[in-house]
Amino acid sequence: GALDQFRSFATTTKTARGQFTQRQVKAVQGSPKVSNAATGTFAFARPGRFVWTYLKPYEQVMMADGEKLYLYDKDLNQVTVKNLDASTLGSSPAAILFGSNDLEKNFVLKDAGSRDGMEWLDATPRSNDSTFERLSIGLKDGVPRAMELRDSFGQLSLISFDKFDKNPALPADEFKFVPPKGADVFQQ
Amino acid sequence: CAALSPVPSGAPSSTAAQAGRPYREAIDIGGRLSLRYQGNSKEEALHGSFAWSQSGGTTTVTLLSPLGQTLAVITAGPSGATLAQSGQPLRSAADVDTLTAETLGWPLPVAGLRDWLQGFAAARDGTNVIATPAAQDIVTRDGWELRYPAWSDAEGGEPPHPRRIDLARRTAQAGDVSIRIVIDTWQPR
Repeated sequence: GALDQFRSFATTTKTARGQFTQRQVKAVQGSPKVSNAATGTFAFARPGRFVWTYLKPYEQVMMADGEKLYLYDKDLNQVTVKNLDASTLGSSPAAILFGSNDLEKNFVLKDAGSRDGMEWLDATPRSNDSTFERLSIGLKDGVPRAMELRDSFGQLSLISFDKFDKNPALPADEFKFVPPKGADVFQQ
Repeated sequence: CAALSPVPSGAPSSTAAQAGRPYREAIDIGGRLSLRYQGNSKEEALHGSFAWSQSGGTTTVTLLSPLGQTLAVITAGPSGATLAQSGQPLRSAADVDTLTAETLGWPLPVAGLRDWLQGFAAARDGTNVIATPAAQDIVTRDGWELRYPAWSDAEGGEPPHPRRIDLARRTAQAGDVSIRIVIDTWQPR
């Protein structure tokens, strides 16, 4: 089932790299309305380092280097630097898949059967101050292929991992954030 | 229609015709925002996106996390304002700006943004002014410093509208607040 696939994924995957597509689905007057897709790339290395980069329709980077979390938006021309702690990591979906903390500490996990050619796992946050109500991870051949995040307002984020390389060699500076020239940097 | 007379450079013009851009009572605007303010112990920063829906006297603002989860839904109308957050009871107040300041810890000037998002404002001296690519800076009557550094290109008969707006103000409850907004979607109704 999905739970043992996920557990083996968590223990056997030290690094990963790939591409994602993200869509938002929100109920507008009762009928679901799918927003246009955002696409980008991701990479991670346990423990605690990941980079989640939106390339289209705009450029945005979320990077954790094990110590700090960097949030950069090209149009806003701004970098925000925060300390990495359980609160920033615990409930952020990117951190859930790639973070260092053990998922089951922060979430109740349960098999949710198969659909769309994947085995699904439901993760419900143990604390109620996380921004989403439920997160589902779809696995196939031992790696995540999709993630669904539902918040308590019925907003749904659908992420598909179009490419997922398991345990690639990553360059040493993969998780070294260099603020783009001219961007305003705010240390929190 | 009114000929688009050139806007005097420097001073924001005072009539919509000069800016060639009508004020839209009913409009949906979406984009991203980042925010800096003084929290009770340290400087706080927030990144996210927003969906702004305005029609008649009512404005609904949804604030979302970078990965698209709803952080807060704020509505402001003639009969007062409400603010909903996940896992929290609904809060309401007569004035939306105090409601956001008390609940979120930083003031989101929703009332002012009804005009400022479209580049219209009541200036310090009380006159109504309109920002344009040639006149980007306005200080509003209630002390917000607005800057319009980026504009959309005119397409489909729509004159350029603001693309990026920077707001700054010193506030009692949250110290120096600076908000940056980028507008991605602009749909007059």
